[in-house]
Amino acid sequence: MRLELPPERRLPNPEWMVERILTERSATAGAPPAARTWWLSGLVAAAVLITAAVIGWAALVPTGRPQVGAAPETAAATAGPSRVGSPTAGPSEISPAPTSAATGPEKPATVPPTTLVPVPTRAASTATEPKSSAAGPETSAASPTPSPAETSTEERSAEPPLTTTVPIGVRVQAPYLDLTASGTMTGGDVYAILVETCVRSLPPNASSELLLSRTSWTLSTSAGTVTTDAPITDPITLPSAYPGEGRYGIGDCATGWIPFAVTPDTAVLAISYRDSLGANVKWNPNT
Amino acid sequence: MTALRGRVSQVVEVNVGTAGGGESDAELWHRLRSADEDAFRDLFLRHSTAVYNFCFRRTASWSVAEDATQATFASLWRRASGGDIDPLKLESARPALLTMARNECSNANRSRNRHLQLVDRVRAESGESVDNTAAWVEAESTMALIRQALAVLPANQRDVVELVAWSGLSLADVATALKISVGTVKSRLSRARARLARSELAGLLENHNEA
Repeated sequence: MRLELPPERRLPNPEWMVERILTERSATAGAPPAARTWWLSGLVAAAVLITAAVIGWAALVPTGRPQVGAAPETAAATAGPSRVGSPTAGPSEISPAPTSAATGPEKPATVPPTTLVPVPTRAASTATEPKSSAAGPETSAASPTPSPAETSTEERSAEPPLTTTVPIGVRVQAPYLDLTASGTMTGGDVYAILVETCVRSLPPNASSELLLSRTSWTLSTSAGTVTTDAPITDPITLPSAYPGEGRYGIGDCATGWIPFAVTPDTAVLAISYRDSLGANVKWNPNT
Repeated sequence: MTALRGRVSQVVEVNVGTAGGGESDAELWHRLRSADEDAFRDLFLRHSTAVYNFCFRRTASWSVAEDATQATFASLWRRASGGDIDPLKLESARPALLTMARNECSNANRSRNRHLQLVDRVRAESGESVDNTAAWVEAESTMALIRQALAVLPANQRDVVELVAWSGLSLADVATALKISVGTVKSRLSRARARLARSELAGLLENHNEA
């Protein structure tokens, strides 16, 4: 038997792929890496700490007694530069937040609070909703869990981006975005989620659009975190797919199903959304 | 018609050089070294299908090949952004790209779990037309058999077969890309042909560009 080379195929969607490469690289180059930001913040904090210590020591020597108030002042001084230095990430490019816990530096200092808005029905989300929800932030009072808006600025500044866990079907007002996970579907080795991401506002210095990526959505399972990159061996047909990546203006929404590869014996614990603008939200699909 | 002719006749992209009135690879590469996005875009659209099919022949998987193609060009752009690209030594960028792709294909093959089958899935779900699924599954099976038969050759002979006989590069271009002499390329190809003369792959080494 003589074998023949299979015929060539054209690369699927080359335009999409090249733009993805350029966009990803631009996003990486435009935003200072978290590690570098942390490092710089730490350096500034250390410098301030040393300065404060020297001043405190100098003040202590003449009086000969301890300065009780010095410690809090030092702490406050170290917190300041860390926050100021952090919001330098490219505001118009949202990238999925790293899975590690160190997400603090990527959160802009001026990010709006995360609030919760119950979603009346699963099909109620439309492209026009973000504008209306943006006009009525007071609706956060209807949140089923304590609103992060009630958290003081000082408390939030000392923490990484706020993690909010809500029942499925709840719309969450994250920084600049309205996020909803409203449905799930399973079949074979696939666990699919119905989600919606709407741009409510733009960060300072952002252009007219935000780059939304499907990879911001992940699953937390009993076997660990599952990303959209995990290969699916037994695909199922979904009604409408969530876009892989795209730019969205205020009032625009990315909506659809996202499939994940999950083995049948794996329990899905949470649907997660994280990005570099401070959103860190989990939905409990078992409620 | 031999397999090789069949393959070449189905190449759909613009070839290297100034075909179609565009810039030459050398000009685009020069601009790429300054991280010019348009130059990168043009080089990608010009050569990505060749890289994709080259990777398919090394991995016997369309989806892994797609992932490896993206990784190859992402690596190229990363290096371009960092000012870390050597001048192009040939008129065509294809030999350099295929050489880069060799490593990415190997990496992708070793970690198939990270490839993006979702791309094909989502495309299908959105209603966009896709190739005949049975045909490309069959292509993967055939390619797996070819890879299996080719495994009798040492890696350096396999490289030459893939680059010269299957990808249509000239001996001189392959020699430059692999940083070996033309004579070495020729002897490796000759040894490979002798080794496979009685195998089912004999026909796959008959037609190639030995200019």
